[in-house]
Amino acid sequence: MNKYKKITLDGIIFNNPTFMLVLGTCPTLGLISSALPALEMGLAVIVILTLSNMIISALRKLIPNEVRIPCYIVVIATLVTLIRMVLDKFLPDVYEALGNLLALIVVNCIILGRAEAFANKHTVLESAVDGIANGIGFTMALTVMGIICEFIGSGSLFGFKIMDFSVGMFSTPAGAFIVFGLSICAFTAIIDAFQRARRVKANRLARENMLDDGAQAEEVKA
Amino acid sequence: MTAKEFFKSTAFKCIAVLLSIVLICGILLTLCNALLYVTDDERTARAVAKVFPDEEVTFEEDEVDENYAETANYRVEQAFTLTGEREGQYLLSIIGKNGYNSGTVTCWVVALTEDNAFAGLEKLVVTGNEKQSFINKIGDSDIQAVIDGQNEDGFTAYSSSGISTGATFSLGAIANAMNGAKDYVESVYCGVVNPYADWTANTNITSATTYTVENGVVTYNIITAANSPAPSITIEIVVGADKTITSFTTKSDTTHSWSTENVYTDFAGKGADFFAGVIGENGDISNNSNYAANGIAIGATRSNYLLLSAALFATANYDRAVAQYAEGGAE
Repeated sequence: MNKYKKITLDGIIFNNPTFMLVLGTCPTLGLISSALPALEMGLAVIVILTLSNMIISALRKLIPNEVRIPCYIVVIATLVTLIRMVLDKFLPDVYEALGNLLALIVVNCIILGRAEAFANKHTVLESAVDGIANGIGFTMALTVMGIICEFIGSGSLFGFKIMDFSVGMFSTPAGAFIVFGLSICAFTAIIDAFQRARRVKANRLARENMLDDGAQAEEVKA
Repeated sequence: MTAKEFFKSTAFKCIAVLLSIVLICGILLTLCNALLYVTDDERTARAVAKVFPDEEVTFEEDEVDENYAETANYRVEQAFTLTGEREGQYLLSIIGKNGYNSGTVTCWVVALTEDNAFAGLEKLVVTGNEKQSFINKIGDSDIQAVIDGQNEDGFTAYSSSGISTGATFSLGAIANAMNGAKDYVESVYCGVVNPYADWTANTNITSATTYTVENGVVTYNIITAANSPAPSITIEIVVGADKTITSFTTKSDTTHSWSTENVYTDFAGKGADFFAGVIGENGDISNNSNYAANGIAIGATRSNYLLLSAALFATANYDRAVAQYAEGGAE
C-alpha cells in the first residue's frame, strides 16, 4: 500500500511534472490564460497519460529496447487522436477551446517521460496509478495558474465575471510566463520547507533512537 | 545472414513489433473514425445552435459568391439564408481581418434585410480568433454597442465612438466583419452594384464615391470604407492630366490627430507608382520601408492606409475615369 501512496505523492507533489520537473511547458503557457481550458486540458492529459502508461506497461516485455520510443509515440498518438475524435463528437466546445494544443499532447514530455521513466519498468497497476497521479499533478498546476491568470487578467473565474479591474497582460502568454515562474518559486519553496521539516523530524527521531540505544547498552554493560 | 537467422534476429523482432503496433492502431483509428466522424451538416447545425441557443432555426446553405467574398478587411466563409419565421435574414460566417498584431477574428453574423435593402445586424457571435490576446476584454455589450452604432458609413469601433474595451484592434476586426456582412448582403442578396467593382486598386473604396471630369482634370469625392479603429473618411482628390495629384483634401470631420497633419500636402505631384510602392503588395504598410521613408508614418497607420488607398485609386484610374465620363458613365 505504501508503494502506491509514494507513487501518488510523487506524481502530485514531490515530482510534480509542471512545477518540479518543468515538463509540458507548451500547453501550460498556451492555456493558463483562463482556468476552464486549463482544467479541460488537464483532464484530457489524465486520460491519455493513464491509458498510455497502462498500454506501454502491458507491452513492455514485448517491445524491443531498440524501437521502444517509436512504439510509445505510435501508442500515444493513437490515444490522442482517439480523444480528439471523442471530444469533437461529444464535447465540441471543449474540442474548440483546446484547439491545436490537444494534438500537441502527442509530444507532451510528461506522457513520453512517464512512459520511458516509469511505465517501461513497472506493472500495469502501478503505471496506472502513476499516470493518474501525474495527470492530477499537471491538472492541479494548470488549473491553479489558470485561476490566477484569469482572475488578474480578466477579472473573472471560470468565465464568470468577478470584478471590473484587470491587468490585460496576464491574459497573454507573457503574463502566463510570469505566473508560471512565480508558481514554480512558491511551490518549490513550500516543498523545500516541508521536506526540511520532515528531515529535521527524522533526524530528531534518529537521535532519540540512538540515545535510547546508548542508554540500553549502558544498562546492559552495568 | 541466412533467412532463418534473420527471422530470429532482433532486427526482425523490432520490425514485426513496430508494424504490428502500427497496424493495430491504424485499424482501431479507422473503426473509431467511422463511428465518431462529424459530418459537415452536423458542424453547421452546431454552429447555428450556438448563434440561436434557444431557438429552432431552419436554413438553407448558399454557395459563397467569390466575387464579393474577400477584401483586405474581411473574408466570408459560409453563407446561409434563414427560412421560416426568419425569412429575409442571413447568417454568415465571416473572418474579420486587421485585428491586433494583424490577426483575425472569426464570427457568425445575423444580417437583416428589409424591402431588399440591408437593415442592420441582429447579433454577432465570436467563435475564434488568431493572435487576439485581449479579445476576452470585449463583452457582448461592446459588440452590441458597435451594432447599434451603425451609420451610413457602416460599423466603426474607434474609441471616440465611446466604446472603450482595452482591445480596440480586436474590436476593429469585429467591426470589419460587420462591415463585411453588410457589403456581402448588399451585393449578393440585395443586388446593390458597386460601380467600381472592376476598377483597379479599389480596396477601401465604397460605392458612394463620385467623380467629375473637366478639361482633362478628374476631381474625385472618395468615401473610403472604415478601417477600424479608423472611421470612414471623405477625401477630395484632384488628378491632373499628367496623372499625378494636384490637390488632396480630407473632408470628413474626425477627431483623429492625423487630420491636422500636413504630410498629405506632399501627395501633390505624386502618381500611382509612388502610392503603390508605399502601400506594397499586401497592404501591410506598417512593415513597408517605403511607408516610413516618405515621412507618412505619423502614428495613424490605419487612417493613412485609407488615405493612401484613395490616392492610389484616384491616380491609377485616371484614364478610366476620363473615358467613362466621356461616355456619360460617371457615377
